[in-house]
Amino acid sequence: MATSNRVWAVLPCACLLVAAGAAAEPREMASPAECQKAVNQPAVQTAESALKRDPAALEGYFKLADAWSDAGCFHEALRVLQTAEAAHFATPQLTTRLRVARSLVGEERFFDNLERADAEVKVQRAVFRCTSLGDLDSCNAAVEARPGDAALLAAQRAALEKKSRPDDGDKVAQSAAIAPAAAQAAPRPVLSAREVPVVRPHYSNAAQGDQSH
Amino acid sequence: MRGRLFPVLLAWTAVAAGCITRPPTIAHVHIGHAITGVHVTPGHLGYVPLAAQRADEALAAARDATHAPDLTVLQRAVAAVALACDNPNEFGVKQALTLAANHIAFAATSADASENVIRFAPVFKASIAPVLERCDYIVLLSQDVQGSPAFRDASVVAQEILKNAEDNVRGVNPGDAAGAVRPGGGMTQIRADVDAMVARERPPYRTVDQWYLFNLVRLPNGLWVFDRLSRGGNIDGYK
Repeated sequence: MATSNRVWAVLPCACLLVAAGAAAEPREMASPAECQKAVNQPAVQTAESALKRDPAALEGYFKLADAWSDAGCFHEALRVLQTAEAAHFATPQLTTRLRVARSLVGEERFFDNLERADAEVKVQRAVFRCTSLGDLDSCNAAVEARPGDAALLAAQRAALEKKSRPDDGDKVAQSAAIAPAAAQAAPRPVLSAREVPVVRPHYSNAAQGDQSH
Repeated sequence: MRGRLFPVLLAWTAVAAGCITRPPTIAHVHIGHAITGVHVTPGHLGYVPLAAQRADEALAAARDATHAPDLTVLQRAVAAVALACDNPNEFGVKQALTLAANHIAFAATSADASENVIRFAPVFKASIAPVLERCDYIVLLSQDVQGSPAFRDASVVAQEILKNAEDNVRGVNPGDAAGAVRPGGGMTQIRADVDAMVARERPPYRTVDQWYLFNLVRLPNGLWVFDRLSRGGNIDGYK
């Protein structure tokens, strides 16, 4: 979800950067690892060689920045443009390109933060379902995400007891797999639902698969 | 006498016409899309007021959910909350705010952007992040409610959804004794931030005429211009 959001929201800005001088199609932002590999891309290498041959030509910096941005490497594109700026090139076109490139790098940080937030939201949901509804699966997910959280461990134990409680007269064997004391001692106690006989599905929903870690 | 007055009147008319027809800066048109209007939204609302409206709708539906008499009514109300928060087709809070951030970024990258706008763009992005996060949380919780067989459990989740929908409107811990709003809050804080940025603009920001709002296009060379010949543009959200 976060990736599609990123493409949807960033492409207009990427179009701007490309429109500032390049002809190629804008690309989605690449990961740092992908950008390391992009060094070997023919377009980057060609532009880099051309710039080395003629470092006095501002156009060479633009071509290299375009090659990096076509590969989705906006940090690298910004660095090239900053190098041009440091080389005392001062043209309105360079100023515009620098402004757009800085904005794109800001976009990248923004969406990285959103992706982190996406994961945090899932943890938040697990914590809520664990502490408010006593949902054992959510407790397991929450404890895995925040090991050592005493309140969550207590909620996890309570959820386990609740799940094991024969409240309708059904005689269900208590799970001996993990006793409360053992759960306290374990650093990251994840209680498997298979270890606990199910008395009654407490709270089923379609989205639970999303919270796996 | 009449002969002397005529040139003066003519000159005054020319000056007045010049003032009236002088186009706004490109940066201010982009800001206009964020705060005044854009042709793709329902009712041609700007993205920020649209986000605020959707946040209010989400809060109203969340209140309905917590007063629902049965599971079916509750699930319907919670579905409305989720749609107000996240709706790619009709602009939920999430889409409207993200597009507002895009257009403020466009403003900041325009050649005529003021330092004030350039500085504000990243601040705006940071301020909308908690609202976007709460929207995602609400959508996850609403999926739980739709899958819930038990009214009691769904009601507990609906209370949590209401709390987050309230935070999206008023912000977390909305005010201290002095009435100050804590940063990282809801739409109230975000709108106040945008209003403050607009008030700082020099030259002052004036509400952008609808023609300029709906006729800004980007040329192939990357320049933003007003589309006097209705040629059409090529950026999402523009003609």
